[in-house]
Amino acid sequence: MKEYKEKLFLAYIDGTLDSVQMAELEQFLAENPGAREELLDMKEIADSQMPDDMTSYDKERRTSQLINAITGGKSIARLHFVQLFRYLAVAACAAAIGLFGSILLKPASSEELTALEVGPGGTGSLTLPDGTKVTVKSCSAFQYDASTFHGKRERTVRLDGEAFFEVAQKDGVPFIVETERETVRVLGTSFNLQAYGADDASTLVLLDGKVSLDLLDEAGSRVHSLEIHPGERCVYEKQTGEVNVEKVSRGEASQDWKSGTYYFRGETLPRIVSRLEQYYGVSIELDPGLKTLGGYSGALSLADGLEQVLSLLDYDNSFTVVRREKGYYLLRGKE
Amino acid sequence: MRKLITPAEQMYLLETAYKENLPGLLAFARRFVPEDVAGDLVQDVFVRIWQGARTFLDIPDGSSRKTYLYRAVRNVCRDWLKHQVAIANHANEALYLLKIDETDHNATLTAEEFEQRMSRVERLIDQLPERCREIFIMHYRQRRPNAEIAEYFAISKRTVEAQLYKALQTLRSSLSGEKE
Repeated sequence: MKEYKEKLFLAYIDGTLDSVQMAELEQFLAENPGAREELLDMKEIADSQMPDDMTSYDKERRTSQLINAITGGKSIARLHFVQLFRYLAVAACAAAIGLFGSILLKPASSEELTALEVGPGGTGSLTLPDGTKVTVKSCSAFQYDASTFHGKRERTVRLDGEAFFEVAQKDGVPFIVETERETVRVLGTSFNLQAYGADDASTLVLLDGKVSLDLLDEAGSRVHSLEIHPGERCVYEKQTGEVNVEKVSRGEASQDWKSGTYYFRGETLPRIVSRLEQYYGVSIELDPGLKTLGGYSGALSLADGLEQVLSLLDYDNSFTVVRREKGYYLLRGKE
Repeated sequence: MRKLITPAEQMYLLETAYKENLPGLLAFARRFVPEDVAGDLVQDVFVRIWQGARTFLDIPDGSSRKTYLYRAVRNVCRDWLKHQVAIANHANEALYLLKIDETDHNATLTAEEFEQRMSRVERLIDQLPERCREIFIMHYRQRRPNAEIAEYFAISKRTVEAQLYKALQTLRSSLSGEKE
């Protein structure tokens, strides 16, 4: 009898009770007044020992889970959380500018060039003088002239590669991102811009706000001018001049690449591969026969490592991965 | 007079409250509900706090805020469990009802009182017989399975269980004895 009770109690406390034992426990508690109180006390004592400073891995995973859930578009309320956060951040910066603006204001004479270059696999983030937050991704170069941030006409930065911008609003002063082949003009908003000079296409994903986008040809003159709305992705094919604007899901739009997730829809294999090359800082060659493969949609967890990611991409066995040497891979088509 | 809080301060205070309490609240919620549910529920609590941020920040800083957070988490867990009772089959129903009892257990304690109670538990653990204490800590603090502990001490699994039970019972009775 005693042993029976012990087993049931300990199993309940450990959470390993099965449904038969649960029925037994229920009956036992019904028949023994006071046993319920005893069990609950014991459970509380045992639980108090549960480490709540989870191991750092656990903590990180949990926090990223939480953040994923918040940004992953599970519900409006959850999105609200992040947006409010952002709104408040912007408000805070605006307040700081209001207070210290007069002290910081000085003649915009000489250029104060600041540059950030990020190597393969890394990310870097910085806050610009106006409170705008920029997270620069793998293999990207970002540059801005701090002196233009004191002025009232515009704030201009340059990008070759990919970055996520959370632009602080500043009394109607536009924020301009220049890349090799486009000019993005915004007031206050969050967006992700992927524009590697070496890539065939560049992609802009807008989270909120509104941006106007000028697409340039090789010579740098404007060929298109369009407005992008929240939740839209614009893909500009630099070779053909084709422009494609489509709606994306919130999860895709948020491009939660801090957790290392790469979302794509209807993407071609060469483009995915070039993105992987950038992220991992490797070189991946494709058999000519593979260059026409397309229609890939999904989400890859880049943190899983290149080989795992490639094996997922090869879900239909259309290629084999050959590792030539360190950092150099070949995807060979199957006949 | 109501203290004026700037948006920047508000953001800082909420963020601090979130970061400081998140691990504890998650562990707390996990006592009552499954792990993945715990994350969602704790998050819901913070979303609601966020939406009515002023009200939360009106609570005096420190222990009262903590009490508020733990009570809020307790409540969302209880609501979740009640919902499970409504949709569960008989066997699960009993489990959820017992879990609801768990959320009600000592529910009126403030965070401070609860911490005092638990620090008494810590003190009492030190007074357990050596082997009993070791087994207790290995299982409940280090989360090691009974079979592993049995092997480590070269005793039977059954003895491990008996020791764990004895430890819990001793702690419980000295805890309620101390209260008087």
